[in-house]
Amino acid sequence: MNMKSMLGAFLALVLAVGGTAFLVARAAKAKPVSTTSAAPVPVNGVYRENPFPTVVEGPKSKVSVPEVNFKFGAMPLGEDRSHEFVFKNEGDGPLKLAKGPLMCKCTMPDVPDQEVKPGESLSIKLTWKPEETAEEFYKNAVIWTNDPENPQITLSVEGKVFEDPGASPRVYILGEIPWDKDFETSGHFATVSYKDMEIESCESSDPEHISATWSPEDASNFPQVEGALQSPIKSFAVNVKIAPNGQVGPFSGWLKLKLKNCIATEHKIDVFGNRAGPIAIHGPDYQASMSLIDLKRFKSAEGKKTRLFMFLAPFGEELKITEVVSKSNLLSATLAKKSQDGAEKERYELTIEAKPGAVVGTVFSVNAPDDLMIKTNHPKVPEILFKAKYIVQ
Amino acid sequence: MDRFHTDVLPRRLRTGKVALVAVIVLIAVAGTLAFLSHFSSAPSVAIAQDASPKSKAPSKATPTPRKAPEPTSPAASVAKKNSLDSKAQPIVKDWPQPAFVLAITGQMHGYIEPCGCSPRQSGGLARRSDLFRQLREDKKWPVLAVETGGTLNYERVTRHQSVLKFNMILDALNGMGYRGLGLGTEELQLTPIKLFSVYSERNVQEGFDMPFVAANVVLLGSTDLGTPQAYRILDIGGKKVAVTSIFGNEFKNEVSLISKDELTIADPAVALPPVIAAMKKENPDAMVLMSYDSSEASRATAQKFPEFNVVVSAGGADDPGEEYEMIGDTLFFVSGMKGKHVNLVGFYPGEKTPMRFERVELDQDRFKRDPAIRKLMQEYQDRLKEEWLTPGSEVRAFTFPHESGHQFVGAKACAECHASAYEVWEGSNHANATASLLDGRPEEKGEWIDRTYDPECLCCHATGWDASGAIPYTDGFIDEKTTPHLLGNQCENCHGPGSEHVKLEKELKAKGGAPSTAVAASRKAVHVSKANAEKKVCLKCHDFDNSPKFDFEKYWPDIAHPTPESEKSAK
Repeated sequence: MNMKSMLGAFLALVLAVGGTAFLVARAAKAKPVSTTSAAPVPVNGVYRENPFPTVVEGPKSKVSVPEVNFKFGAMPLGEDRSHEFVFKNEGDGPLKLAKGPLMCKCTMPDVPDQEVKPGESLSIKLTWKPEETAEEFYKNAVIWTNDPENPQITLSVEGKVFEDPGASPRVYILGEIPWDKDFETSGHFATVSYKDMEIESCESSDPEHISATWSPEDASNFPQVEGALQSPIKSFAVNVKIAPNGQVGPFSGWLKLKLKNCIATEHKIDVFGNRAGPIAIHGPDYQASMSLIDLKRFKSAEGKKTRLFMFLAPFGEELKITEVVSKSNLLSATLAKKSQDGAEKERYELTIEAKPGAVVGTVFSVNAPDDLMIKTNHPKVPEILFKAKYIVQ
Repeated sequence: MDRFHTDVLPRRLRTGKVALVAVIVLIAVAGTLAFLSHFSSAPSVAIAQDASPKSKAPSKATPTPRKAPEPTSPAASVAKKNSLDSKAQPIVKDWPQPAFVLAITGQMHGYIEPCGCSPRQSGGLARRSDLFRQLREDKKWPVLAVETGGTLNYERVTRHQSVLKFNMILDALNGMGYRGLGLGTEELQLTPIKLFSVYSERNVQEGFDMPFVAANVVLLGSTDLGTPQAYRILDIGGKKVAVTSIFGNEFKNEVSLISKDELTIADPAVALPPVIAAMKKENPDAMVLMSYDSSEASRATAQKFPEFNVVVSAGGADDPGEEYEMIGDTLFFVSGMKGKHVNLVGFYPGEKTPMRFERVELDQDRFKRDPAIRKLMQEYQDRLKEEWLTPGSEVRAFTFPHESGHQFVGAKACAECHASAYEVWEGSNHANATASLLDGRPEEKGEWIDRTYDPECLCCHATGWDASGAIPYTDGFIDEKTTPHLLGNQCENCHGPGSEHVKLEKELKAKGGAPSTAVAASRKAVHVSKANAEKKVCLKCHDFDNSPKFDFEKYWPDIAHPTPESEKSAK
C-alpha cells in the first residue's frame, strides 16, 4: 500500500468512525421522537405519537392550515358547537393525517382515513359539547401529519359557556339571617333566547318556610358579569322569603321555578343559610345543629381546652357569664370580649375547658353527652345549654 | 511489514479486505451525509425550541401576546414535535439557579386528588407536594407558594363536609410551604363567620403560617379581626416578596346575598392603591397580585397597576395550556383549575431574563404521592367517618326526600319480579360500587384509604343519593350496618325509588285482574329508555372527571338487562 492509498484508507477510517459515532448518537437522541421501528398503535383511534415514518426522499407533503384556533364566543349550556379546520396540501407528495390526543376528551375531531393529494384540501371538524358553565374554556386537539416540516398541528377552540335561562346568583347563600322573623332577599332569573318565557309557579322543598314570588323586571337589571348570560332579553326579579321555624342553626332547601315557553321546564335554585339567634356561636370543635362540643380524646393529666366564638348585636352592656353548671363537674367556661367598642357586631371568645384530673376512662358520647349550662346576663339568652363528648385517657 | 502481510494474505482474505474498506467508506459517506443533513435541518430544532415555554421566558422589554396569535402560515401554526412527550420532560429543565421560585396555584375546586377518580388524570395534593420536594430538596431552590383561592367545590361549598375538607386543604398547603391564601368565591361562600372560626383556630396553631390575604375584603364588619391580611411581606432566598390579593367585581354577585354586616367587598380599584403604597414602603424585590376575578378583568387590573411584577388571575380556562403574557413589565397568567397545574415563576433579579415561567402539569409519570398528604387524607377520612356515623351530625344534616315522594326499597325487592335483570346487575361492577370504596384502585394497593364514609364518593357508589349534589335522600344509603339493602349502585339509582311501584304490583298480584291506571303510571315512571339513560342518567356519575373513558355505547351492554317486555316476547 503506497502513501496515497494509506492516506485514503486513513481518511476513510476517520470518516467511518466519526460517521458511525454520529449515526449512533443521532439514533439515540432521536429515540423519543418516534423513529423507532415499532409503529405507534392507536388507542381508541388516538395516536400518542406520530404514526407516519419520516419521508427522507422523493415527493413530500406540505401542510397548510390557515386557521388553527377558533373562537366560539358565548354559547349556552346544552348546545354543542363545531368548526371545520381546513388542511391544504401544498407539497408534491400525498398528505396523511392522524388523530392525536384530545384535551380531556372534550373535543372530537373526525379525521378521515384518506390521503390528501397535492393541491387538495381536507376539513377536520372539531366539536365541543360543554357539560358545565365556564367563564372561559380552551380545548385543543392534536393532528399528526406526514409533512416532515410540520409533523404536529394543534387545533384549538375557545369560548364561554353560560346557562340559559339562568339565575343570578346561581345559588342563594344567605349567610346569617334572623331566627325569629321573616327574612327576604332577591335575585334575578333571565334568558337570552326565549322572549315569551314565563315563570308559571314555584315549588319548594319546604313550602312553609322557604318560598318565592317573582315579577318581570327590566332585563338590564340582570347583573352583567363574566360567566353569566350576557344581554338577556327577558328577566324576572325573584324574591325569596325565609320564615322562622322556631330553631336556630343552618338550613338548606331548594326552589324550582316552573317555566313555560322555554326549552327548560324548570330551574332549580338551592338556598342555604343559618338562622342565627341573638347570639351566634361557631367554632372548629362545635356542631351547631346539635349544640355539641367535641373535645375528642385527651390525657387526664393535661385536660383539654377549646375556643368558641360568639357574635351578637350590642345590647347595652358587656356579655357576662353569671353561672356555669357542669353535669360532670369537669367542664368550666370563661368569656372574653374581643371586638372593639362600637362594632356593629360584638365578638366574644368562649373558652370551654375540661379540667385536668378527670378519671381515666371517662367517656361521654353523642348519645350520652356531658352537659354544660352557661347562664348569662343577656336579656334574650339567659341560658345556653351545650352538650359535650370526650374520652379521658 | 504491510507489504509482506499483504502479499502473504490468501486471496479470500484480500477480497474480504477490499469489502471491508468498501463498507468503511460507505459508512463514512453515510455518516458524512447524516452529519451534513443534521446541519441542514438544524433550524427546525431551533424553531421547536422557540415554541417551547422555556424559551418564551418573559423579557421585561418584550411584550408577548396573550395566546399564540392566529397563524396565517403553517410555519407559525405548528409545533415541530413528533410525540407528546412534554409530560416526560424534567420540570424547569433549562432553568439556571433562580434567586427564588414563586409557585402559584388556584381554583382547586375541591380536587384534593387527581381531577376525577382516575389516577391517569393530572393533579392532586400528594403530587403537588412532591413537586415542591423536588424543587426544594433535589434542586435546593428557595420556593415560596401562594394560592389564589377557590379551594372548594362551588356546588358543594354549603355542605359541612366542605369545612372539614377546607381544614384538610389548609393543613396540606401550610405543610407545603404556602404562605398566603387569597379569598375566592368558595371561601366567602363558606360564610364569613365560618371563615373567621377557621382562622381563629389556625391562628393559634403552632407552625401554621398561611393567613387569608385580601386587599378589599372585610369580614364581619370589622378590620380588627386579624383576618384577612391586606398584604404579606415574605422573605425567600434573601429576597423580599410582597403579596396581595383581590376579590374582583366579576364574581361579587355570587356572594351578594350575604349581608353587609358579615361581608364587605370594596372595588379593587379603590382598595388597591393604599395597599400598593404600603407594600412599596417595604422595598420589596417583587410584588405579586392574586386576582380572584375573570381573566379579562384581571388583565385590566394588571394594566391599571403596573407596579406588580406578577399578576395571576383565578379566571380563565381550566386547562390553560402553556400560555402567559407580558402586560408592560408585568408577567400575567391564569391559575388553571382543579389542582391540575402549578405555575412556577423563577426570579433572576438583575439578569437579562429577570423571570422565567413554566406551568407544570401534575401527572403521574413525574410526581410521586407524598406520604405526608396521605396521612392528612387519612385524618380527613377518619373525621368524616366519625361524623358520618353520628346521627344528627352536621355532615348528615342536609338531606331531602326524593322528588317523586317515594322511598328506596333496595334491589332485592326489585328481584322478586325482575329476576333476570337482577342477575345482570349482580354480575356488574355496579353491584360492587360501595365495596370498591373500601378496596380501592389496584394501583394503590397497600396505600388506599377507605372512602366508605365520604359523601363525595358515596353519592355515586351507593343507592339513594343525589349524585350531582352529593346529598343523600332522606332514606338513602348511610352505611352497611344501617342500610344494607342499599349497598352498591342499584336499580333505583337509574329507575327511581321503587316503593310505590312495588306496593302497587304486590296489590295487583294479590287481587288479580287488569292493571289499573295507577299501576300503568308507576310502570311508566320507573321505565328508563336507552336514550334517556344516555342523555340524563349515566352522566350524573360517568362524567368527564370521574369516568374519563366513559363511552355510552361501549358501557351500555355491561348493564343492559332484560325488560318485562323483552322477557314476554322471548317466551
